[in-house]
Amino acid sequence: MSNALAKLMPKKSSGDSVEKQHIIALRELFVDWIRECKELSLDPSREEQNKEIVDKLKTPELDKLEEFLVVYDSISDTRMLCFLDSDLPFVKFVVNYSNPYGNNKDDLTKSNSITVANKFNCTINFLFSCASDEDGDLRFSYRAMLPLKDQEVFKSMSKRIAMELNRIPQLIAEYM
Amino acid sequence: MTSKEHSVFASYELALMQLLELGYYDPEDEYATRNEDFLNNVFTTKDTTKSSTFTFKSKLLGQYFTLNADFKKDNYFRITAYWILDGKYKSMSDRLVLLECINNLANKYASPKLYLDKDTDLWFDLQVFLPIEKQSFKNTIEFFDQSVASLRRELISTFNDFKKDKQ
Repeated sequence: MSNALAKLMPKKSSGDSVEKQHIIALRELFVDWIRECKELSLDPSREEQNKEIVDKLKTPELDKLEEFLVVYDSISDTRMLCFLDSDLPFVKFVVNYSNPYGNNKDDLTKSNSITVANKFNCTINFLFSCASDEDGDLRFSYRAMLPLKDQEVFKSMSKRIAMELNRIPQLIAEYM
Repeated sequence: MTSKEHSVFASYELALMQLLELGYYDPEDEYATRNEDFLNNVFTTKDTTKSSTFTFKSKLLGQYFTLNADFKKDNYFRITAYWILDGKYKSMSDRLVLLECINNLANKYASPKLYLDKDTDLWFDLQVFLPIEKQSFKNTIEFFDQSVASLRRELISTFNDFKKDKQ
C-alpha cells in the first residue's frame, strides 16, 4: 500500500476497536482448538446453534453474555456453556448442577447450598469457582484469560477441566 | 532439564519481569526479602521438586498478593490474596450473612474464586495455566487487582445493607 493510500484509509476510531479485533481473532483460534481437542468438543446435539455462534465469532457482534457455545466433555459426559464475549479479555466455561438439597427452594436449602459452594472454593487447586444461584443450584465457572500462549496451554487446561468435571458429583456428596 | 521444564521456568521469569515492569513489585521494599528463595530457584537452581511463593503488591489497595508455584505441577500457578476480617464476622449468623453476600457477588461479577476460610478470612484465588503470554499475564494481573479492590468495597456495603435490612 502506498503511503498516500495508507494515510487515506479509514483509521480505527479507538484503541478499543483494535483490542476487539484482537479478541475476535483469539476466540476463533480458541474454537479451532476445541475442535481439535481430545477431551472437549462442540456439542453435536447443538450443532445448529453452535454453528450460528461460531459464525458470529467472526464479527464484533457477540457482546452479550447470553450467547454461548455448548462444549461437551466426553470424559465426564458433561455439557458446559462456553462464553466468548468480544468485550471480555477471557473465555468462560460454565456448568450447572441442580440444588443438591432438592427442589424445595426454601431459605435453609439455599443457605446449605451456599455453604457447599464455599467448600468447593476452599478446595485448593480445584479449578472451578462455585456459586449458588437464587434457586440453590450450583454454578461452576472457570475463566481462561486470553490470549493463551499456544495450543499446548489449551491442551493442559482442557485436560484439567475434564478431570475436575469428573470430580464434581463425588465432591458435592462429600460436602453436603 | 527437559524443554517443557525450560519453558515453565521461562514463563515464571516472564511473569516476574512483568510484575516489576507493571509496578506490582518493588525489589527495594522490605517484603521483597521474602522472595529470595523463589527468585533463586526460578533464575538459578530451577529445582522442579520445590514449591514456593512470591510476594508482590496490589497497585490499587497496597495489600500483598502471592504467586503460589508448585514447580512439580508444571501446568499452572495460583495468584492469591486474602483479607483478614479481624474477627468481626466470626459469629455463626454473621458468617452465614457474609457467605451469602460473597455468593451474591460471585454470581453478579466475573471474579476470581472467592471463599471464606475456617477463620472467616476472605480469600481471592485465580489459577493461571502455563506457559503464559505477556499480554494475557498483564490482563490477568490487572483483572485480579481490580477484582479484589472492587469486591472488597462492594462486600462491605452489601454486608452492611443486608444487616440493616434484617434489623
